[in-house]
Amino acid sequence: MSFFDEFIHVAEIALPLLLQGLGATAAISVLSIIIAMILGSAVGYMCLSANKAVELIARAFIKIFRCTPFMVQVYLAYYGLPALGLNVSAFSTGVIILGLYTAAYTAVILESGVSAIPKGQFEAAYAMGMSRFSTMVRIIFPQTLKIIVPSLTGQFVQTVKDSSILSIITVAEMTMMTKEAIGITFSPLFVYICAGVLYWALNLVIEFASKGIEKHNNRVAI
Amino acid sequence: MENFNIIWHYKDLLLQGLGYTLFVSAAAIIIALCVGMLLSVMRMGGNSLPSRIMKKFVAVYVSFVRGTPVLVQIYIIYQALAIMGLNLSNLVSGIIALSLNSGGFIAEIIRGGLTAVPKGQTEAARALGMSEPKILMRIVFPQVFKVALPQLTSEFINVIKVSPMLSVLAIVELTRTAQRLVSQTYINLPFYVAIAILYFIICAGLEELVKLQKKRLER
Repeated sequence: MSFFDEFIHVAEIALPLLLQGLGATAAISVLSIIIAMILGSAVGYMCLSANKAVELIARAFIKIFRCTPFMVQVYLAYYGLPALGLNVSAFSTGVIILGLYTAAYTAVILESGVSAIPKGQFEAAYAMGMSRFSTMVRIIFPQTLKIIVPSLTGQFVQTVKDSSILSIITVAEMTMMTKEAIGITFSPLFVYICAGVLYWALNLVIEFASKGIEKHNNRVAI
Repeated sequence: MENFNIIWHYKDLLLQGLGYTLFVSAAAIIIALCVGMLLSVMRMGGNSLPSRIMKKFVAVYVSFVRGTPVLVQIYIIYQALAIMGLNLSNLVSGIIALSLNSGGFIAEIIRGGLTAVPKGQTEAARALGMSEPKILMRIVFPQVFKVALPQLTSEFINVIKVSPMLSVLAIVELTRTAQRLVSQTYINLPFYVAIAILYFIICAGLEELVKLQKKRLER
C-alpha cells in the first residue's frame, strides 16, 4: 500500500470519531465563549469602576488567570472543584475553567476597547441624564463591540485551541477522540494530522466569519 | 500546614522542574527567533515565481501554526520526527515542536516590527554597497528587535505557559514533576497550587518587564 492509500484508509476509519470529537470541541468552545462574554464583560466593567477595591478584585482575577498556564488551571479545577464540594462532570469542569480563562482575556480586550471610545461619548450620555450603567450598556458597549471584533475572534480561535488541553481530564473532545482513533488504527501521525486539519478548518471558519463581520461593519460605518 | 510541609519536603524536585521548564522555554525561544527570522526573510522576496511560492508556504505555515492547538502540534512533530527515522530524545523533539510553534508567532511579530524600519535605511545601505544578508543582520533586524522587544518578551511568557504541554511527552518539567509527585504522595491539590504559584511568579515578573520595556520604548 502506498503512503497516500494508507493515509486515506486511516482517515476513513478515524474521521467519524474525530467528527464526533469536533462536535464536542465546538460545544465546549461555544459554551465557554458564552460564559467568557458574560463574565468578561462583568470583570471588564469592574476594571473601569471608580471603587478601588472592586477594581483590585477584577485586576487580581485577570492577573491570576493570565499568568498561569492553562494546563495547570485545568488540573486545579479538576481536583479543586470536588474539594470545594462541587461534584461536576469532567465536561462541565472543562467548560467552567475554559470559560473563566477566556473571560480574563475577554475582559482585557473589552477594557482596551472601551478606552478607545472618545470621552465625549461618556460626557454626552451623562449630560443627557443617563446612568453610568445604561451609558455603558447602551452607548459604549455597542461601539466597543465593533472595535474589538478582530481581537475577540482571535481570542475565540485561542479558546478552540485551548479546549484541546481538556483531553488531559478525559473530556471527550477532538484530541481525546484522536487518541481513541489511534488505538484503532495504530497510525498516530496520520490521525494527528487529520485532527490538526480539522482544528485548522474550524479556526479558519471563525476567521472568515470575523472578516465578514468586519467588512459588514465598515460598510455600515460608511 | 501539614500540606505545606510536604511541599517543602519536595522543594528541591519542584525547583529542579522549574529549572527544566525555564531551560526548555529558553532553548525554544532562541530557536524560535531563528525560525521567525528565517520565515520573515523568506517572505521578503520579490515577485518571481520561487519567492511567490515561498511566500505562500510561509502564509500557510503561519496559518497552520496559529490555527491548530499546540498539543496537536507537539504530537504531530513527535510522531513525524520518529517516522522520519530521526532518533531524537523526547526533550529535543519537544523543544523542536515548541520552537516551530513559537517561530510562526515570532514571524508575525517581526512583520509588525519591519514596518518601523524606514525604507530609506535599506536603500542607503544598498547604496553603500552592503550585501543583502549584511543589510538584514546589521541594519534591519537590530532595529526590528529593538521595537519588538516587548512583544518578544510576551512571546517568551507564552512559551513558558505552553511548556506544561510537553509533559505529555514525559519531559520532566515543572508540571510533569508535580504529576509525578501527585502519583507518589496521593495528595493532588497542594502540589498543583504550588506549581501554579511558581508559574505565576515567573510570568507576572516577566510581565512587569514587558511594561518596563514598553515604557522605555515610549521615551
